[in-house]
Amino acid sequence: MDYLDDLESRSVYVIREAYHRFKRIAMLWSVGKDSTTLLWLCRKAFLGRVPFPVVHIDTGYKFPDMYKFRDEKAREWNLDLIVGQNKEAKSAGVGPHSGAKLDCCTALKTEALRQVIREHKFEAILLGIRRDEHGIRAKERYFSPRDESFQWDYTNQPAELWDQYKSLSDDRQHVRIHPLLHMSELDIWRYVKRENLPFTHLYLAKNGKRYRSIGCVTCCSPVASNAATIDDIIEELRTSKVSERSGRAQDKEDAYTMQKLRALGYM
Amino acid sequence: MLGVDGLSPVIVERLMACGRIPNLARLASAGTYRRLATSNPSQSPVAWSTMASGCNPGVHGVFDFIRRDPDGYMPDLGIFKPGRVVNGRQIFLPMRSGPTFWRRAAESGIPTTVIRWPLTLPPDDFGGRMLAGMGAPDLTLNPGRYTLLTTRRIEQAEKTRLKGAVVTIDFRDGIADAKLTGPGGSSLPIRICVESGKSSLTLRVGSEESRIQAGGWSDWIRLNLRSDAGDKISGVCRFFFKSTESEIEIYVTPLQVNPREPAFDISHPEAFARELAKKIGIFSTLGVPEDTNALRDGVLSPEAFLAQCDDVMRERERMMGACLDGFDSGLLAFVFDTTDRIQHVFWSALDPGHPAHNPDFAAKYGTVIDDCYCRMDSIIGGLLSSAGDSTALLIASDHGFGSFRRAVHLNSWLAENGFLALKDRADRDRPLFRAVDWSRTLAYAVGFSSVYLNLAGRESGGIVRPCDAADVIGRIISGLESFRDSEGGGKVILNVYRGCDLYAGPRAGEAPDIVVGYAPGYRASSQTAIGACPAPLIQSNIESWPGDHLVDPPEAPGVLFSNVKFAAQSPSLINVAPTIIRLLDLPPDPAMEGQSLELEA
Repeated sequence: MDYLDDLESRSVYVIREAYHRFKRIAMLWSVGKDSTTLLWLCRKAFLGRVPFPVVHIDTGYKFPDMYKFRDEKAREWNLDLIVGQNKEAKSAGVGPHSGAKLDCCTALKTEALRQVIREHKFEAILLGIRRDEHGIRAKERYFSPRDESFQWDYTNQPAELWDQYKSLSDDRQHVRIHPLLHMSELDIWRYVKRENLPFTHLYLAKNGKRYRSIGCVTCCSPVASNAATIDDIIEELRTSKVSERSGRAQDKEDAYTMQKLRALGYM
Repeated sequence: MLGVDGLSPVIVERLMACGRIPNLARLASAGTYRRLATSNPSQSPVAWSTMASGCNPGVHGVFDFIRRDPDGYMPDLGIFKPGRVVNGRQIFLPMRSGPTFWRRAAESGIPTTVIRWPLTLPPDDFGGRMLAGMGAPDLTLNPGRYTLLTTRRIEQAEKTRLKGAVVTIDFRDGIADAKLTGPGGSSLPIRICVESGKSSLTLRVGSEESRIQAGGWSDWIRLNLRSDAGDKISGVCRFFFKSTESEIEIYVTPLQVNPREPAFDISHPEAFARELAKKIGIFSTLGVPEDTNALRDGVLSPEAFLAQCDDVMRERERMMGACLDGFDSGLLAFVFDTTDRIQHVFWSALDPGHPAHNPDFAAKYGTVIDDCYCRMDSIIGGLLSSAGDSTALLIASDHGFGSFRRAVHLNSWLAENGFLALKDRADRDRPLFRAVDWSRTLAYAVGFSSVYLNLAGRESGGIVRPCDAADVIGRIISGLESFRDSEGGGKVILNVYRGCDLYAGPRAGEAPDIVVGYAPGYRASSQTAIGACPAPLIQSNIESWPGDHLVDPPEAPGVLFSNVKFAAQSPSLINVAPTIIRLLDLPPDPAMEGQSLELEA
């Protein structure tokens, strides 16, 4: 078995395990390369039909290409698509104005997801996060309980031995499930290539720049790159040392830290 | 043991000489008064931890208000540290290690109570009773974030400048509805009914209703928040109603733990906070309840702020009364800290040479600081009479006070002198070291007195080899010692210390490599503290924080008073804990490094 088959079957195992354990389950689809790969794997796991809803959290600030891609694929793959939006915050004018990015993310992403989970009473959500994305994610698990305040208590999680995942959760929590945890950015692109998966063209270089990670227009900036094809991307990643999320605004993390630090009288 | 934050010998001596603080003067003549050498650095968290432990920071592990993570260089607060959430309750990780006089006393069977000692969150499980002090955050895990409800349309730039949250309100037929944001996705609906003429308003929060006059404070209002998953979170806050001709504004204190139903542990045993609240009513549980942020943002007027300070003092006094009530024998350690806050924000009234000195302000508020000392003196008078002669009393402050006229951008100095490299075309004002090129940086300043080397093997992008560390430190020290202010040419820094000379102990590995002792009048800029490198090296401090004590420690001693006569002439903070142990007739604690003060023969 080639190593992409191995990665794929590990993901499929987690997806099926999750579906088996949770009645009210959904997957989160950001329309980016990772969650589209996850979506593809879900289709494979259940022989072409995703048997649960697919949730897209729409801040209203995504790239136009992303909306087009989402709607096309939702039709083509016959998805039960739920578009989640925090309408109250949007009508109150919350947006990515300078300096308010933390509040914006909290209201338009976190709160919107919370509303969807509450409304549909989801017990479990499948997400396309990967261990190599960000330092803190190194501690993630395939099955990751979130407590009532959405906090992930990474020091208080049970060990996952072999394939004995801790997939039963206590009450009043929802479980986040990460079937792609073991994949790297490079694995994703190799898999996308092998499976001939569709992806938005934002990932390909135009005028010497491309997006390595996509989200809201206002908080993403392209990285310098000449990778105009998927083979170029794979070659670029094989040699690059720049972090994948370097093009994503650090503002959000920084804003929270700054909010705390500035509250100290001495500032 | 009475702790009073920031009591300065200079002011104390002046007020004693003119007879305005008779109780302290009596202690000085019949007992002991000394200047008390502070810790290095002279920052409250470090000083109070040194006082509690009788050990140097290498043992207790508190080196600065701000700590940094060598992996990623991110500055963070060094006064509380949220840990995990267990069964819906936030746990905090201890900031301080090493011995404490209270543990020693309690373990020897002495009934011990510790109230509002800084950096006591999480409260110690030491066999006595403890209520957490400075360092305890609000319910949203912020050192204190107020909310401003306002009919004014505030521009985004202004909102970003304000340290609190802004909620816009609109009145229709005299009624406005608003929502406060709480922890865990909770929010709190508030209905505000304003009387015609705007002389008073009624607030409805849940089942509680409160009427506030214009220019007045509400009582404590209990908040029943409900987190997203349906968990109850109990909190308390107060409101201040300010009305102008055209607008209505309501200041809301940070949402704090309700001592009657604590959302996280602020006392040990857990029920202790509840018992206190039963005796004296609801009290502020936030580490720093005097909202200097709102004052500096112009959200609270000086009068409203002083009224808040007054309430905090009164509440603390009631708390002390409750602790002394029925106190037969044992150890009570009790801290007041409003003295420190008031000096920080009103100092320019005392210093005509301060860049923010304004004669009108000085005329109006010139006696605020003296009055606060006098108030403290009368509280001490009450304590003396209720404690009686058979009780040994120590009164100590953690540091003194002085003027903060010039703000030093130490990272900019490091950049100019080749120790810190900036990225190409970087925005130098960006905090959190986002402008720093670590691959070419030898050293960086963070917090109010700390400089760290970018050390290979410790810092994640470290480039200074351990064998070169001493040389780099030596070069920085000699450069800083000759650092002069281009305005006036005076010395900016009096002394520069090597961390390895100051600190020893199990936590010395976390210590800064260099500790900077500023000349009086100078202080590290707030930009320095959080890793920004603005272009000028030094700027006038025109912010409304004119007083400070973050200078070379010999320039900012605190005070020590006692009704016991001590022979020692130059006591220091590290002697306090061993002296308490001795006054309790206990054998010395071998874990404490300081000596107890010699009694007069």
